[in-house]
Amino acid sequence: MTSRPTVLLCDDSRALRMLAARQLDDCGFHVVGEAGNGHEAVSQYQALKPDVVLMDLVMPECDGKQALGRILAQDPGARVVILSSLGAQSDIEECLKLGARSYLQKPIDPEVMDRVLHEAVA
Amino acid sequence: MAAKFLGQFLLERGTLTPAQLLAALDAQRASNPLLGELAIHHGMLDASQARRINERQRAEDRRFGDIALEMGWLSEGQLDVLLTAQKKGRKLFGQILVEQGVLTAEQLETELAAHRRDLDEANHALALGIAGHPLADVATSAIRVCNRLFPRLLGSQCQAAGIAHDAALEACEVTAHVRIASGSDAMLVGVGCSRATMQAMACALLSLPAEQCDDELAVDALGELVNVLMGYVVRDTLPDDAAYRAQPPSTRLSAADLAATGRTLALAMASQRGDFVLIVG
Repeated sequence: MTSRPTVLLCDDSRALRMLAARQLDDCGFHVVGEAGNGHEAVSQYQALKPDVVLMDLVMPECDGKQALGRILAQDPGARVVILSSLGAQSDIEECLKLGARSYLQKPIDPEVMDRVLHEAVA
Repeated sequence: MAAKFLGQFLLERGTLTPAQLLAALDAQRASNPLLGELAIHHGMLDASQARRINERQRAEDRRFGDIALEMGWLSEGQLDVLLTAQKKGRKLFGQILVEQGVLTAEQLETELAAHRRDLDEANHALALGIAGHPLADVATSAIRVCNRLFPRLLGSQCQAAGIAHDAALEACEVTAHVRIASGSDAMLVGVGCSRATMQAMACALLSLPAEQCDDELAVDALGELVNVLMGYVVRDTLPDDAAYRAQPPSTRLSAADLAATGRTLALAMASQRGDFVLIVG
């Protein structure tokens, strides 16, 4: 059993998932699941009900915005934080309007991620 | 003429053997420990704290000591002790070659002068090569981003070595690129390299030993690296309010294929993880 907040990590890059998982562990989070695209993120969210989802935007098949919308349609209280290498204002605005709790830009700044994710689960 | 690091330059001139180069690099690394390593050695930080500061450095482009101070993990006095110790032990590559008896001081002076000429010629050739090119701004931005990010992400210096010619493009065994579309415009950033260089970059990016980094993971890491490079180039070159759509990294096209479109500019790049080709379009 763990009292650490749980995270579902969604990124099509295995390398990024590996890096982020290590940093999330350092920040006191427990990575309960990993998804390689938006479809997997939606189904894993249903199964795992994590405290927060860290979601990439650009992914094949089902992208982060679609997955964000579907997760929030299922669970309006879901806490999803976007993590993307691209930071167009229009993307940030759209994601926040869709209901993302925050928007982080790669490369990951562990201090910022730590603060933002803890705020998201508070 | 292509810009090269001093060690590589001397190796290619036959001034150094591979064994001498490796021994000198080992000695240089040993003489120049990272501040985090020194802090751990002095019992001022534990490994987890040093790693967290290193990770912040990757994202923030700030000095280790400044972050450690901000986090309250080191005092000003402790930082002074560490910086003094670091500076005291630091040796230049050429100095090590002399100490190891590979070169005399006079030979070193001659070689350094030749290396400086080589760098000047390469920089001049690069400037001429991209001057007036429609992609000169994007290429300059991409080079600047690589120069800034490589030390943070890969622990390696990086420099442009000239326009990439066919042989350099053909030598790329793997190439990852990312495209974005902004209105009617499109932008592309790609990195092509040998499998050995890709492996070295991936291991550095992920802080993994080579035996734990399979080919698939290394390709994935190269894609992620390109993704981050593109993110910075976009921020550097597009207006803040520009809207764009991005595609995930692709490895389907070779460096030669990307260069053959005629709408790209391929640059030869040198890094301590290996040479690579940076493609912008």
